[in-house]
Amino acid sequence: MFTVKAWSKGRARSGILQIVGGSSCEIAIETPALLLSTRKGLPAFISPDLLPSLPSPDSHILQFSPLHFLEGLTPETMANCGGLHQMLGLHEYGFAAVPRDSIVCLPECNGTNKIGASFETPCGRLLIKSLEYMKMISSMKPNLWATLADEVPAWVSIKRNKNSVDRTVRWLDECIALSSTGGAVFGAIVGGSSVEERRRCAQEVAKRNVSGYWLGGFGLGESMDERSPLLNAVTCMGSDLRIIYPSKSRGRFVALGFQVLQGIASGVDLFDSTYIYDLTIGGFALIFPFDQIERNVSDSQPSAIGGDQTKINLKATVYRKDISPIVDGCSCYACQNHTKAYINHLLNVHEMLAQILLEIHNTHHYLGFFRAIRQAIKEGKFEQFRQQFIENRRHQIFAASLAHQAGKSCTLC
Amino acid sequence: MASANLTLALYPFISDSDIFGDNLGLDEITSASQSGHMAPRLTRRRHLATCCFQMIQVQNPTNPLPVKERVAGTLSTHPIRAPLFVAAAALCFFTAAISISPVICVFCLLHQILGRFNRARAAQLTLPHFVCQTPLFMPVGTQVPGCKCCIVTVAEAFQNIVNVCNGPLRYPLRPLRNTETAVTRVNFLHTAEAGVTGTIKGLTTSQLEEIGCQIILGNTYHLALRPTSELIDELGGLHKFMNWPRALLTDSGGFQMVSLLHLADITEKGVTFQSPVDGKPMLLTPEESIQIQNRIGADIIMALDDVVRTTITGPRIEEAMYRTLRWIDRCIEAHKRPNEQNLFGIVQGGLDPVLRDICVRGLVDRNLPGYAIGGLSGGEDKDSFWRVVAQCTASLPEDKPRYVMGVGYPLDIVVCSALGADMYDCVYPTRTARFGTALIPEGVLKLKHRAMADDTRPIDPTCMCMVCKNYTRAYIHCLVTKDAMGSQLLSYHNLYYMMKLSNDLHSSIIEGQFPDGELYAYMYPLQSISEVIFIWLTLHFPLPAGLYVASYRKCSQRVMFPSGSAMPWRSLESISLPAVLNSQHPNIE
Ligand SMILES: [Zn+2]
Ligand SMILES: [Zn+2]
Repeated sequence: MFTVKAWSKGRARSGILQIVGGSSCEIAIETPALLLSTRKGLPAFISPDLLPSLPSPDSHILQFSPLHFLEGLTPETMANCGGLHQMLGLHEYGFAAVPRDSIVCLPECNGTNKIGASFETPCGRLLIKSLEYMKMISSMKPNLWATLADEVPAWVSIKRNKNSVDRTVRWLDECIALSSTGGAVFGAIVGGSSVEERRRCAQEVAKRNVSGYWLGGFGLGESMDERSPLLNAVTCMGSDLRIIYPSKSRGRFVALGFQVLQGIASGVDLFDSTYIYDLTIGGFALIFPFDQIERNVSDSQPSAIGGDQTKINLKATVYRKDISPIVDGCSCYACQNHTKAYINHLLNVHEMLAQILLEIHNTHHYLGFFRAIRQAIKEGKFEQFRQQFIENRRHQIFAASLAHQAGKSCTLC
Repeated sequence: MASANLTLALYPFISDSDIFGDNLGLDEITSASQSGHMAPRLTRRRHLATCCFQMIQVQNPTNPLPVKERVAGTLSTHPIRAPLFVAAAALCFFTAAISISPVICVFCLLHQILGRFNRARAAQLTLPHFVCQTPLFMPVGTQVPGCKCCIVTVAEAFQNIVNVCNGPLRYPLRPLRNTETAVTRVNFLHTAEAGVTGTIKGLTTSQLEEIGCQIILGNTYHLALRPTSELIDELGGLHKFMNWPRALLTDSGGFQMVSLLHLADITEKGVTFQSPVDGKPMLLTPEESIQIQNRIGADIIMALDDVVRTTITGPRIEEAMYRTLRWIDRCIEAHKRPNEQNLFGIVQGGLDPVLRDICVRGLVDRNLPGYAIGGLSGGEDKDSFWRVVAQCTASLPEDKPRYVMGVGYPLDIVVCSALGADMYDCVYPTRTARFGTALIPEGVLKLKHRAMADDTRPIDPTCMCMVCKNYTRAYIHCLVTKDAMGSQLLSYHNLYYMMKLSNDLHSSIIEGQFPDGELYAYMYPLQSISEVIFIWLTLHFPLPAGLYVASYRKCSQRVMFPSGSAMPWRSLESISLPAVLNSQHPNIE
């Protein structure tokens, strides 16, 4: 199902993930890849008839949270419909189930106990047990699914952290025992900010029959510098594994682009990110050049209009009369059909079409970034790519860290 | 025009004892609406009266036209076709040319009637940007969450609050007691909604094309506030700004001002209102409204009219009607792009057939590219509503498009089309989608209802839209009013349904399968489910009469499936009555 095709000097690798969609059609996704985050299986704003306008097959792998469906769809009805592919009519798409979604379903470590994991959801705080979770999974029939995890923030006590690893491993066993579908199991790896616990958890999970790892508990308080050893501790287990790395990304892009590159450098293959959603809600559009030909950025400063050379805020009045597309030459639906001035107007009058167009463009653009990374890995230039990316944004990283130290909120939060 | 001549030639033999003030019965109008008749009897009588007046006028040329507008309206030169009056007509035109400013209208519109069935007509309307097939429905392009004209009726708002607070509907809808609570509740609803990133109709222009939308309606008032008409003009007009290749229509902006803003005041000069931006008093004159619409650049623009609620009675209605007539001249005068934009006049006059008739005549004299029937859909009862439509469509010229403003319930569209109207607009299909209601042939389907949670059928099994082809009621149930996608998908279906309805009307009129006008007129006030279904069956399944019963049985089972959640049209109509607009209407008397 997963084969590594190319390695860069470090751990970064490029491969092909082959999955079987709804009506037994084969989907081949090149990794490193981005899982598009969804609400109940569909992107937040892109309706299913607009999905094919996104780059294919890159966009054909969607992430969803089974917990979303607790709002009104029972596993029985889901099973009657024949699973998620059938229910959504998206047969040429692969689905990855992850318990939490980082937007509306968040882990709540204080509520979690030995029986099950606790989540804050739109229907209140819920305690999810393995049995319940597996019922949902088997009715939805996702292509890959992560097991239940007890995710804890970086600041919890050593005892609590140890506990979370024990629980996660126990739930993994329960989930595998209860599993009745053919979907690939991704064992959850937790361990907070302790390298030892992370390693212990990874070793335990690796002993089980899993097809990949889901790295949980990131973005919950650990620093960027702490993250690399944590990632390295768990990604050193061999080449036959795929890993979903949830990046909770309510931060600046610099940090995020860096995060993704950091993850890839450590050997992470799949990324599950809410970044596009956050940008879209904030009225931002990605504009950074992601190909190797970097523009001269020395003279561009983070401007006062709420953007930088990475993204622009289309709510800004400078775009009132701007009849150019978001990115010249971008082939997405939004850039092909609409101008910055129109999107600016839509944002001003709170028309949902603004979010639709922004989500299309941002998804398109971000998938392009991943494509460029894969290209770099294949050409053996990943390290250069990464260095250049960081170099070009050094002053932004600096500004971001200053803002972080000063406790200022960033543009997106 | 041969038949017209023939009919008119008979007029002198009709007694004119009850020319004015007669109240036509249902059967009178329906019998007049049969094919072969050009107008209801009332209009014919009025016609005669005018002719008589004109004769008097001509016989006494030294006497100038009466100053009083009411008479002026009545006397205004209606073209006399009867050979009997040819000479008189020529003189009459001459008189009129002196007293009423002569207007030469250049049209950039072609209205070709392709087929008729009794009074119903199917036509091809050629506009600068698109060739449309009528009858047609126009979705409203710019709805704004903060805008009170774009929001729910009280009943819908109330119901949604019930849904939000108590889960699925527990008790039946009942109207709110007083205006105040209604407004408070609606406001509450709005605050609640504002948090959810403004869930509003979200369709791309390519989706609208795919669905088959031919004309989109843009609210001048909203566009003038943001992004402003000057900016739209600078960026090359609304078509280019929103990248919509097909036709556009803009309203005058007056309706929103009167209905939205508490301090709107109408004087002869125009509509004075409080600016929503800085609270300063501002004035919208007919000239200004046209100027703004000229800048926006839609294919069809509307004249500024003096809008009054239909439920108001008394001299205010009359005043508004005459003012509308006076303003139309100012609008025509101010219209700078007659070669690219069609100015439609609006028939006012409340529910009074006499006033409506004066207004129709006044507008017809101005020879405009098209006419709209305004002042309806404001809470009047259905019986009065269709009478006004029937009267106006009967006396408006055959070769011009007729647009019934603000009408959008599927059944209203069917009835108005049967009466000879061509164009409709309403926010209803998209607005109701936001509250989880789908339009289906049997009525409406409340997707919020608990019974939908495990219903694995599509919204409407007969619908061919993208939503019905792919999604179950259960899935839509778990999306509606929670996720943006729910309102997107339902809006898509509802608009598709409206487009399908207009298409079906168009083709059934051409094929001569449109239900008999008489049948309709009698059925409509009764509104029993069986009859409505019967109408639908005759529209959609042209079967031999014997099979209707069987189909009806099949249908009724679908209407009453166990949850009872498919609502018959009757309930839908009761929702339509208490409109928020009414409760917020400023006191302009
Ligand atoms: Zn783009
Ligand atoms: Zn449909």
